[in-house]
Amino acid sequence: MGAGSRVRQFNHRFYQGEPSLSDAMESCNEGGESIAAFGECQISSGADGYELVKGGRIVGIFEEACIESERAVFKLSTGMLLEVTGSGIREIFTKAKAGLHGLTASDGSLYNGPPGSRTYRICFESESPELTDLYSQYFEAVYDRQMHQYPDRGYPRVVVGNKMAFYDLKNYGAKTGLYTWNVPRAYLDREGAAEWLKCFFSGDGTVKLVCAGKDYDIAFDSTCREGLEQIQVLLLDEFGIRSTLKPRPREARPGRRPGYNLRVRDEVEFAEEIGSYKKEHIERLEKILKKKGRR
Amino acid sequence: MPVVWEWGSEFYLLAENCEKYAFAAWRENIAEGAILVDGIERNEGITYSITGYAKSPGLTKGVATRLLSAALGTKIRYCSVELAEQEFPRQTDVMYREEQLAKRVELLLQKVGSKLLEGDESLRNRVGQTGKQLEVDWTLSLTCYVRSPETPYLIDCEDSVLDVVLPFAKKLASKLGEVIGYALYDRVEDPITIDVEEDEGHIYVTAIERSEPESGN
Repeated sequence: MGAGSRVRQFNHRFYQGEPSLSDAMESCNEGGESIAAFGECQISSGADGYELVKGGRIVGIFEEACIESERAVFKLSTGMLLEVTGSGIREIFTKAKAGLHGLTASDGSLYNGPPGSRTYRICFESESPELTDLYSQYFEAVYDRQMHQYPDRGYPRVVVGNKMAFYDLKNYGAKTGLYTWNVPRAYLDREGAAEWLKCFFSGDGTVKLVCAGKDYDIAFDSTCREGLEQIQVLLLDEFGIRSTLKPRPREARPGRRPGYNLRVRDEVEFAEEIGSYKKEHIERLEKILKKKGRR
Repeated sequence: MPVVWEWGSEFYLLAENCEKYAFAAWRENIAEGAILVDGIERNEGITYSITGYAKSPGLTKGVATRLLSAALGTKIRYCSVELAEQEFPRQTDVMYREEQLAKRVELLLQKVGSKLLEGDESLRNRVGQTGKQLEVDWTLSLTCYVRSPETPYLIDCEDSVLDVVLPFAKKLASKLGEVIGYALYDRVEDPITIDVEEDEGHIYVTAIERSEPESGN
């Protein structure tokens, strides 16, 4: 190996601390001070940053870390974090990446043209300019690329062509096919889950103040039943929010796909824990909270 | 169900793709093409589709353009084109005027309520014991028939409140032609309760057909 400490070489070779779990190196004591331990993992800080060691082997060296009582979180590239807890290590989304995925699943599209084409287009379109602005902002935070404003028939739209971002979004399930998407559950901590839900809801959610028999109604609508089922589980497991999934009954019209409606049963909890970025939703959620004496 | 356009594509491609597909797929035995746009009005969460018809591939672009103009302002999820050897059925035996709809909805909800009470003993007991009024939430499927010089249009909308779904259907229709009547899907077979809530005076029940898949937690 060349000159310099092994830590510096590791930094240089593995993208400034990006962990390489399969290529984990043996730990070398650079004189860092141990600052936290979670299960088999130990974290020490030194001149080069934070060193994460598992079972005597270095997992990675990181410039930034956030040590909390139950976990430590290290910053990786393209909107990813490495979360270390007593039960192990996993990669999770940053808030921006979770939001980007939620928005992509609702109103975004990934297009790579006919077979053999070199088009890798990422597009987000909405009737709400606040959502296209948010999408651009999150995209830049995650991929360090600016999107282009490209309104069409009065709809704000942001577009960019980028192969790396295209596959990164696709591989984590932001769009898995025509009309289909997945909740990237394995990569969401509680904050990420809330952000994913908030962003998806901002796009494909509704807050109604006129509904059958009740004063208000909060619901998600989609043609992707599987995705709505995943949202249902996420809402319950992470936030204890109950919901009911039902089909949209309709007369079979040639060429029409079935649709599904996921109605939130714990509206107040949803308004407080999840919420929305869409202006109209925010106003209506406020009304619901006021009605319930929570404001 | 050939989908020729979906949300996120440029809008001008919607009509162009319809025409391209129609010219490529139309055979001598084809009598008609049905062009459908499906979408959702997101303030009130009303799902809808608008269908227009073309007797030749050259007419599809014009129909698709008018469908797009009517649907702008909502989220248009996709556009599909279906070709058939016979004319698509598009008229119903029973068509209502606007002023008849409220009564029809009331009767429909009564029918759902009666069937629910008939088949659900615990709900029947709950209503009997508390003396509260049963309120049924049942998705209404309203079809609006529109006449225009070039083609008839069918607008299908779904929501559980007539006062929400009717104005929206009329708004879409106003951009396409003249409303000639409405149909309300009123078949109720075996409704089941999927959600029950209660306040001081009411028991609110959300119901769907047993044959429709649902899940709740």
